Amino acid sequence: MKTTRRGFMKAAGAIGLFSIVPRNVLGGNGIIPPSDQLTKGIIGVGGMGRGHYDYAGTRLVAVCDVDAKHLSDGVAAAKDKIKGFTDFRELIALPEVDIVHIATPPHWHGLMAVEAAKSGKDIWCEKPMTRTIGEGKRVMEAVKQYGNMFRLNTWFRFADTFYGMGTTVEPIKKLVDSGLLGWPLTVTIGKHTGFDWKFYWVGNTGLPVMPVPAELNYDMWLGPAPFKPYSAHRVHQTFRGYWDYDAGGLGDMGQHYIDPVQYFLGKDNTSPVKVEIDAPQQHPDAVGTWRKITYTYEDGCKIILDGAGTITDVPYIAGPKGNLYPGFRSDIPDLQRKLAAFPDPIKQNTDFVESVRTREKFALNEINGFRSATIVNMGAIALQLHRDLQFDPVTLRFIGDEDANKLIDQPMRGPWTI
Amino acid sequence: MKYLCLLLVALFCYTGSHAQTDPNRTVKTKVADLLAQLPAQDATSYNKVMSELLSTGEEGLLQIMALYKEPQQGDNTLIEYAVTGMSRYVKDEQQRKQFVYALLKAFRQTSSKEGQFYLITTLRLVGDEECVKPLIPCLQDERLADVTARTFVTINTNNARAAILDAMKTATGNPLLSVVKAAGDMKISAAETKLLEYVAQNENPVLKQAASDALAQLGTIASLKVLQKEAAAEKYVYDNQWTATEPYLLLLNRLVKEGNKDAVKQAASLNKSCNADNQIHVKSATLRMLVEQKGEAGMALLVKALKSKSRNYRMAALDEANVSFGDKAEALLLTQLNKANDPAKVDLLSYFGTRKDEKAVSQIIPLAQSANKEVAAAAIKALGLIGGADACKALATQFASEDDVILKATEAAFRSFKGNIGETLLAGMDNYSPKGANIAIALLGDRATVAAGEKVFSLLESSDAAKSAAAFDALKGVSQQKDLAKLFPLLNKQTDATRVSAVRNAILTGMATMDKQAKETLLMNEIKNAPAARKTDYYFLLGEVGSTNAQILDELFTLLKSGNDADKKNAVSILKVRTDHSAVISRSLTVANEQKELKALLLPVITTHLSAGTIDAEVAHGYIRRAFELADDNAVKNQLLTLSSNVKSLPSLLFTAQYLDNKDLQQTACVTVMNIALANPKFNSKEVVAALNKVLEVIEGGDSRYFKEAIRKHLSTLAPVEPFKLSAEEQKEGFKVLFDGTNMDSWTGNTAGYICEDGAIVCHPGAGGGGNLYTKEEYGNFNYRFEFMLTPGANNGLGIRTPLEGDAAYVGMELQILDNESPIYATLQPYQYHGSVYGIIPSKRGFLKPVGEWNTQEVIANGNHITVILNGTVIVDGDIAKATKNGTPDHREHPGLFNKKGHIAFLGHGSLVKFKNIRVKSLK
Repeated sequence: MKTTRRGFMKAAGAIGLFSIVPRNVLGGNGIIPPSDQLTKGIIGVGGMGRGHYDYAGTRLVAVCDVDAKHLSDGVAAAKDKIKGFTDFRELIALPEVDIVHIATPPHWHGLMAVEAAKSGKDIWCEKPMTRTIGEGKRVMEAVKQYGNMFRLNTWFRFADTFYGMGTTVEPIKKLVDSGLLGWPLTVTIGKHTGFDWKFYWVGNTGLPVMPVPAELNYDMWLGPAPFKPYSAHRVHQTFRGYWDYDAGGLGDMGQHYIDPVQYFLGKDNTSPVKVEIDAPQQHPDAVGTWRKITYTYEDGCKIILDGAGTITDVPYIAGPKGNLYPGFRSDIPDLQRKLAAFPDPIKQNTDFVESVRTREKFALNEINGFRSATIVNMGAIALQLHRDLQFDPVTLRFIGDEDANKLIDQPMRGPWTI
Repeated sequence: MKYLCLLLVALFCYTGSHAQTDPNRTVKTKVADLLAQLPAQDATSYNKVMSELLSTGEEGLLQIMALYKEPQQGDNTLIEYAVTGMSRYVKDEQQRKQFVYALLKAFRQTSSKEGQFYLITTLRLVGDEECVKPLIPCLQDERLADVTARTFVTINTNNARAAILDAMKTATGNPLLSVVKAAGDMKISAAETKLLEYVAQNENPVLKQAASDALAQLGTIASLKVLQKEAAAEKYVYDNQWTATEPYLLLLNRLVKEGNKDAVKQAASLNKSCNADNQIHVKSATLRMLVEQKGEAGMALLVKALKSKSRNYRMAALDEANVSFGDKAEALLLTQLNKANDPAKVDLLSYFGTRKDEKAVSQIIPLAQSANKEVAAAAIKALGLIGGADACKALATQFASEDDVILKATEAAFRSFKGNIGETLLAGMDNYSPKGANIAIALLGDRATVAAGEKVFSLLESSDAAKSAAAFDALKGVSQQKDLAKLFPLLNKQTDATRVSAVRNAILTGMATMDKQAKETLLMNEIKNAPAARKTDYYFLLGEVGSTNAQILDELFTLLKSGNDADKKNAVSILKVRTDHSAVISRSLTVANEQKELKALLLPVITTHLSAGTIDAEVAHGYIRRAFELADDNAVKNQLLTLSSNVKSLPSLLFTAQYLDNKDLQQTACVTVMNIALANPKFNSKEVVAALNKVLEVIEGGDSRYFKEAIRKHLSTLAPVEPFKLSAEEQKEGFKVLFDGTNMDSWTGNTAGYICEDGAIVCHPGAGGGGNLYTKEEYGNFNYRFEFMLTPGANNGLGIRTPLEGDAAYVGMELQILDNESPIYATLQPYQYHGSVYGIIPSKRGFLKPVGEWNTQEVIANGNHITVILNGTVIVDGDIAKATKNGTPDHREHPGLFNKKGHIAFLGHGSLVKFKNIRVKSLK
């Protein structure tokens, strides 16, 4: 029986040698010896993946890519000697991999996350969490079943200055929770509140058919996506422009921008009940632009995505008792002092290495990550059908629109299954 | 829209030799018209076009699909917009059926494989039973099997299921894989036997896996036995490339849910035997299956799980308790808390905290005193999450501890503790350890517990340095208006920088509820009592409350110029907080220019204020330019170029574009040029296009690929300027165009301050260094025609027969350009108004259009005879020799008045004025 290093760490968690007390409580210089580090394998090292080689407390041991050149570059770029694979299942199966990091285009995320869950590994997944709502449900099920730790790689709900606000999301959460703005709230995400929807991720129609480059395994690149003749614009840096793999700027930035809003509105366990769109007709294959998407929750809270950048002079958060503008400015006089009397937001688990040790859910996990991905995916479905939709946050189905429900579970290309 | 043209040509060619009266022609025309409107730009037009397309019925659809080409041979974009659009729009059952039959007919008629693929994809969304029979053969087709199988999965009628079952007997290769998968997705139980055959073979592992996965969905106990064998051989680990464990577990889960006794037995046995560290997830999975199947009785299993050595397993069990049993599990698990060993205690505490279980509080409280630090910390965390008065009191007692782990956990718990913690914290203060007390004081300050004011003030003079430091720090939280009387003297007494800062903040809090005027008055009063060393603190406070007092500004600059290092630093930080941005910037620029050694201190002040962003664009650009001239190091220059991004004017863009070749400033310049250009589609001049193309060449960095896309798209949408063209008559007469709206090629001089913008020459006061704009050529006798637009109070001038240097009014001749009606010009001399030969010949007044509108003007200079025609009226018609017979009317020397020739110029740089459509004809 192979005894993994990780297994040793887990068993030792009982007593003695290796304490479960978080590093930051123990103090010390924060440097973790290699033998205590968790290990990871990254799937997809053409772009994003390669930016993730370093994460405090983890050590890279393997990478995987379906493009032979990306793979060799990826192996070469590592500080230490690492293994390279072309089949992600081999990486997942490696006993010496503790964490599987999924950095492929979104159409693979769900399937790979479930595979990693089945293998008992912990999972780090790029955003958007899944391309469809159905895949997201399946990831939640699998992670629950097998008890893995799952984190989604968008972090604004707990770290970094949040776009035009000049602060982290924490004071925004504190402000919303204090009730000083009132309820319900309307949040506008667009150019004039500091957010760029990156419309340059649009796809091209009438793609010329090209020969598949020798270094690319196109069949594996596609995986569960429908087979369509190869064209360079479909893959690598520009896959975001195609519905089969992603959802354009909405898919690229959606979770970064929307997840913190879901967090501070306290809506991590529900979804909007309505999505309304204003956009040109979308092509079935190539993602286009859109002007506005409005999400409304049961209690009247709204999230407005201003793609056209025409909503000027609007607060980032508008409430019946007060407003918050970019730069954390407000029309509530003496706001900082008033806020001081309120509690800080509950500290979230923001160190994945800690989550892996304590088995407490990471701040952004498969459940709240599913919810913010669902907001993105609801929008994508509404755009493709070119109409407004109503959604049931409990059954996770659209109401009175079977066409929309057909886009929740989109059967995968055989033999791939999730 | 080149594909549109080809398509339409194709459509019309299709009519071939049909007669004019052919009824099909109407449909063809209709279809062509409708396709021309795609993609629809909004919902209204989408609904209209789709509805009309659908109404063209089968005929229309067949015509559209007849044009579908293999992707190598043509562009199907419009077809796809139309057909997919219709499929998503189609409304009632009758319309749907009609549309689907039309799609099926098109399917039969199309020879393009990709076209067939496309149609089947479309059918998945709209099709139903009627699609099944026609598509059955596709289940054997290499290219089409997959999409057909997926379509059948969606349709899922009995015939669809039968077709899949059938195809399993005859399909091979990839089509077989698709069919097998479909059988699983549709849960076709009759497929079990065949699937088991595929699982039994080992030659084709892909098929074996696909069949296993399908059995997981539809299998019975028969499959369970087979899969169990395979999974056991793998030791229930995801070890090989193809795994049987997952399908086995999925099937097991299904059958356990159904209550199958064999399945339940297997699950229990697996749960017992999977203990290796790479099997824990299997142990967890089986636990969850069993627990959910047993309902409430399953809770006992969860309790047992708590005895496991594996944290993963224990936490999985607790998650199951949380998710499946809610409140019911809480009571049971509470009975386990004291019995559990330490690691399990930690997990249980996490559970109770997550559930915010108030009933657990009394049992958790003693655990906060546990000798095991992990347990104690976990208990403290749980109490913080659960909240409530008892938890609050218990947490407060933790401040008696000296242990850092305990204190840190307690502090964290209090920070997010809901409700009023101040009273409780205050009440226990005497029992706290020194370290604990200091943390408690900090919390009282941070939570603005004004009730703690007295205590905090009493601790300021404590002999314990850490305690008094904590007290000072907390002042800003606990101070109220009534404390101000104490705070000002307190400030005046302080010498230590940290304490000074603390009391200042306290004063700000104390004044918070006063209005701005009252704050300023109070501070101006109190400053009189301040010792010299503390005066700047009052300046700081005044700045913080938004005072724009000019005297104080003077004092600050005096300090800056003649104070010591500390004074200078203070002055700078206070200058930064003031809100009179423009005043501070322009003063700073002046002083920095006069005393270059102060540059380094003042540039940060300038950039801080420029970031405030409330300054007029023209003015801001001027400031940025002047600051740039002062800056020595690239860091500041880059900062200024970044700030230019907010000044979205053309001068700002062109100024920045100068640095696109400077390696140290290039990248910032790229982003700024891009931001300004993309925000202003009206900036379409040659210079702007050149700048954007330069950016495309040199921009680098993570987002550069997508920035380049953005710029390319922007460039393709720029409306080219319509160049001004001479009328036929002017062309015949021999006029030459000097400015046609697109370039400044005929001009020289201050081309930084006079720029080509939106088809005009615009004089931007804030741009460039100053000076006139001159024609490159010289003219003697001429007819000069142009248009101009003024802004309120505008003052410019038309220089003629002037050299390239000097004041054209005297070294040549100036024809005044002026906003006559502005009140600031009410008392000028007659020869100073618009159109006058300045100082020589007065003009007629009253013929200018209102400010903001374009005026036309013609100037004829023929020897000594000068004529000016404004908006069709002659306003000057005189002879400069005659006019100066008895000396110049303005009693000034005009040495250049009788020049035979010279340049034509626009003079001065103080006002925003626009010129366009400039042409000249030389006279003999």
